[in-house]
Amino acid sequence: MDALFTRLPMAHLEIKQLTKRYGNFVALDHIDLAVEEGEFVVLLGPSGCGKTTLLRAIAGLELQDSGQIVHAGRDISRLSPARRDYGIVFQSYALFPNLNVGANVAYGLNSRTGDRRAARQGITQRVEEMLELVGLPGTESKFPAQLSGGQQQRVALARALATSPDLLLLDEPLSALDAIERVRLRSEIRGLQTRLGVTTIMVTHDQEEALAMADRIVVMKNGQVQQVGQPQEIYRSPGNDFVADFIGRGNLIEATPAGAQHIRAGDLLLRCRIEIDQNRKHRFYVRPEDIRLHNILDDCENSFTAQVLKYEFLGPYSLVTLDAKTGQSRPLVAQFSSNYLDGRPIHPGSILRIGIPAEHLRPMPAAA
Amino acid sequence: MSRSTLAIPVRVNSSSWSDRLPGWLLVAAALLLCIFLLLPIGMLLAGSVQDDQGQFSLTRFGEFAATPGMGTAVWNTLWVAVVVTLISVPLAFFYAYAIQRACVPLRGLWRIVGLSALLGPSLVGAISFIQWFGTQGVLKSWLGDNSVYGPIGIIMATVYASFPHALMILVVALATADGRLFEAADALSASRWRKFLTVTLPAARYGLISAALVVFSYSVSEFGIPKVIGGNFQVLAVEIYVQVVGQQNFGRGAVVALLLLIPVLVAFAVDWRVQRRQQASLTARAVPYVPRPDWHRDLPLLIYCMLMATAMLGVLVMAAYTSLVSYWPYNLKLTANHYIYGLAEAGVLDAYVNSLKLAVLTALVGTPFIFLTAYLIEKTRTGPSWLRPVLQAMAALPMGVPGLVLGIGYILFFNHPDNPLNGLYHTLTIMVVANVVHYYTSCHLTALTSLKSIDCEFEAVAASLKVSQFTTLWRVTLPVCLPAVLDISRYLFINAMTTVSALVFLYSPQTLPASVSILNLDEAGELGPAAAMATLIVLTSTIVSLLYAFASHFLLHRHQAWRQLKR
Repeated sequence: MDALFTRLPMAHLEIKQLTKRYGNFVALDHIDLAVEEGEFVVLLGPSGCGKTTLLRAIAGLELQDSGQIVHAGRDISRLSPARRDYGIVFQSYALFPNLNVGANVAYGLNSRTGDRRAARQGITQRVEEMLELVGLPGTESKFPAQLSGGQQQRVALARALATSPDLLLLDEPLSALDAIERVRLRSEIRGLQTRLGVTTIMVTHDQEEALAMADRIVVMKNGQVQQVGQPQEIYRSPGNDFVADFIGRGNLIEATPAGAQHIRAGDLLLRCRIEIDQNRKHRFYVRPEDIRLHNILDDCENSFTAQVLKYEFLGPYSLVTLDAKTGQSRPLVAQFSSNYLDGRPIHPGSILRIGIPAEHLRPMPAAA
Repeated sequence: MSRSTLAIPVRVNSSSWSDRLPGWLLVAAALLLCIFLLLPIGMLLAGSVQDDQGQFSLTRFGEFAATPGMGTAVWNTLWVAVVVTLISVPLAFFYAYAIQRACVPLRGLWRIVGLSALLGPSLVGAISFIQWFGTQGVLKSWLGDNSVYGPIGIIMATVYASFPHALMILVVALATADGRLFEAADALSASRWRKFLTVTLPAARYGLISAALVVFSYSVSEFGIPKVIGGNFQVLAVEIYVQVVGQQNFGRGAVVALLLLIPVLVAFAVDWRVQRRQQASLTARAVPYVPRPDWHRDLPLLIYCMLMATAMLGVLVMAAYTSLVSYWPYNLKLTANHYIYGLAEAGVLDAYVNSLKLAVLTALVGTPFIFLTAYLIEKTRTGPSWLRPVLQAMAALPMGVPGLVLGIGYILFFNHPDNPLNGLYHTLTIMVVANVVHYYTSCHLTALTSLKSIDCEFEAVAASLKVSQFTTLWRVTLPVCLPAVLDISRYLFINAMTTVSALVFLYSPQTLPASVSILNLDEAGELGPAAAMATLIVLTSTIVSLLYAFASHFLLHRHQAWRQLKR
C-alpha cells in the first residue's frame, strides 16, 4: 500500500492503454490520457477518429476490449454507466419530450430518502437554481418542444449538472445549433464550467470550437492521439502533418540546408531561427496569416516577389493564392486581414512583395 | 492494477439485480418464443418425415403424391393466388393513389371504407358473394352461365378480403414523395403518363412487391373462403382441414401444411431480400410532394373510389341484410329471428362470448409481451449479445407462417402425450397464445418502429443520472410510445375477433370462437345465423375501433399535451 501512496499523485481521470476494436476496425488504439481536476479537455478530430468512442468508453456506454480508466482514484473500467459518476450532454439534447423542463432537470434528483415533503422542496429549489444557472429561470412548466435548440441544450446541461457530478461529458453539444447560437452557447458553457470547476471532457469536430473552449486539446486520428496541448501550442506548433492540416490553414515548405541558419526552397533563400543540420532536408510550416505584405520596393529579410494566382475576399480577411517560386507542388496561401489591406485592391496576375519573418518558419518533424 | 490485467478482455461488472434483469427477461422471452413458435413448427417438420411408428421416413410424401387430386389442389391453389394478386394489387394501388396523390374529397372516408374488410372474418365476403351471385343471387345474371361456387367465388371473396392488406402497404408506400422530382419532371415538360411511369411507379415499386407477396401468401393460406364458397374446387388449405379435422390424419396434414409453408416462406424471403436493397428514397433535403387539384386526374379517381367503396360496403350490407331476412329469397320480411333463435336459443351465442374473452385476453397478454420484448431488444444491452438477432428472426418468422400451419404445429406439439404442456390443448390459454404468435410480426414491427424513433441516448442519460432503466421505461418510453401500444392492442383485438385459421384446430366445444362457429353454421346450411354471427363480429370490431379512436384522441389530447406543442 505504501508504494501506491508514494507514487506521483494520480491525475483526476486517468486512461491507460485503452483499446477498442469493431471487427477489423480499430476505434481506439492504446489511448493514454490524463485529465486534471477542473480541467476542460476537448477531444478533436475528423469523424471516425475515435473521439466519440473514447467519450462513450469513459461514460461506460461502450466497453473497451482492454485498458483501464481510473476516475478519482477508483478503477471504473468495468463499472456499468449507472455506477460511474458523471453527467452527460448529447448532440441531440436527449430531453424527455413528455416531461416538462422542471421534471427533466429533476429527473436524476432522488426524492425517496427521508422526509418526502422536505425532499420535494429541496428538488424544486435545486431545479430553480439549475435553471437560473443556465439562464432559463422560470421555464419549469414548458415542454422541450416549446424551446429553441439552444434553450433545449441549456436544459440538458442543467439536467446533467443537477446531481453535481464529478465529471461532465459533452458529446458534440453544439453541432445541432445554428452558427450564432453555437458561438453564444460555447462561451456560456465555458463560463459555467470555470465557475463550477467541474472537470469536463468535450468531443467536437469543430476546430474553432476546440480552440475557443479548451484548456487542453487532444487531437485524434484513426483511434490514436496525435497531439495533446494547449490551444496556442497546438495551433502554433503542430506536432505532425495531420495536426497542422486539420487545425487552421497552412503552407508546408520543404527545403534544403543553405548555411548555419539558412535554407533554400526553390528560388528562395530564407533565414530561420534554428540551427540547420546540413545533412538532411528540412520541412517548415508557415501559417497564412504570418505572411507579411511589403511595399514592392522594400527589400527586407526573407522577402520576395510573388504573382497573385487567385484572390478571395472573405469579409474580415482575404485569402491570396500566390506563385512564389518556392519549389513546392502547392502554391503559397497568404491571409491578409481587411484592415491591414485597408481597401488596397489585389488583382489576379499582379506582382506583390511578401515576406516570411524568420520566427514564423516553424520546423516540422520529418514526414512519417 | 497490475500490468497483466490490462491485456485481458473486460467484462461489465454489474452486480446489482436491476442491471441484470433485462438480460434475464430477454432470455425468458426467447424461451417463450421457442416453446410457442419454434418447437411447434419444428414438430411439424419432424412430423412430416416420420411414419406411424415414429421412424424417419418419407412415406408420407409418397402417400401424399399418390393421393388422387392432390396435383390439382396444388395447381388450383397457385393459379388462384396469382389471379387474386393480379387483381387485388392494382385495385389497391389506384385506390391508395387516389387517397395519397390526388385531391379527391373525403379521403379519410375512402380510407376507412377501404379497410372495412378487416373488421370481419374473411368468411363475410364469401357469405355475401353467395347472396349476391349465388344460385338465388340478386346479381346472378352478371356471371352469365358461370357458377359463383368455385374459382370465381374464391377469387372475388379473396380479392375483397386481401384488398385492405395491400391497401395498407401501398398507402404507406405512396405516403411520401419528393416534390422536387415532380418539379424537375414538370420543368422538363414531361407528360402526366411519363411522370407516373418515371417518378411515381419507381418510388412505389418496393411497396408494390411487398403488397403482391402479402396478397399471394394470403390467398395461398386462406381456408375459410374456399371452404364456404369453393364448392368442389380443391385447394391445399381446405385439404389440410379435411385431413386433420375430418380424418384426424395429423401426419398427412403436416405434409400438406409443409407444402403451404414453402410458397409463403419463399414469398417472405423474397420480400425481405428486396426490402433490404431499398435505400432511403427520401433524403433529409426532400420536399414533401403536395398534390394540386386537377380534375382530369381527380374526377376519374373520385368515381373509382366511389365504385370501389360501394362494392365494399355492398358486401358488408348484404351480410347484415342476410342476417335480418326471414328466409332468403322467398320471405324478405325483416326479423331478428336469426339472432334470437339461430344464435341465442341454439346456444351458439356462447361462441360470441368466447371470442370476446379471447380478443380481450389476446390484447391484454400480447401487447405487454410484444412491446416489452421489442424494448429489451432495442433499448437494453445486457444479456447474451447473440440473443438479439435470434429474437429478431423469431419475431419476423410468424409473418411467413400461415395460421393453418401454426395450428397444425400446435396440435402436433401440445397434443403430444409426452409434452408436459399437454394440459393446455383445447384451452382458451392456448388459443390466446396462438393468436399472439400468429399476429406477432406486425405488432413487433410497430413497436420497434416507435422505439427506434425515440432518441437512442435516453437510456444513457438515465444511467448517468443513476435512474433505473425501468423507471425510464415507465416515465418516458411508454408514454412516448403510447400510440403504438394502442395500435398494437387494437390490432390484436380485432384479429383475435375475426381469425379462423389457427383456431380451427385448437378449440374445444367449450371454447368455440365466433369466427369458427360461422364456418360450422355454414356447413350446417344455416346461412342466416352464420350471417348474423358475422354481423355481430363486424359490429363488435367497429365499436371497438371507435372506442380506440376515442380513447387515443382523449389520451393524446388531454394527457399528452406535449405532442401538439409548437414553439
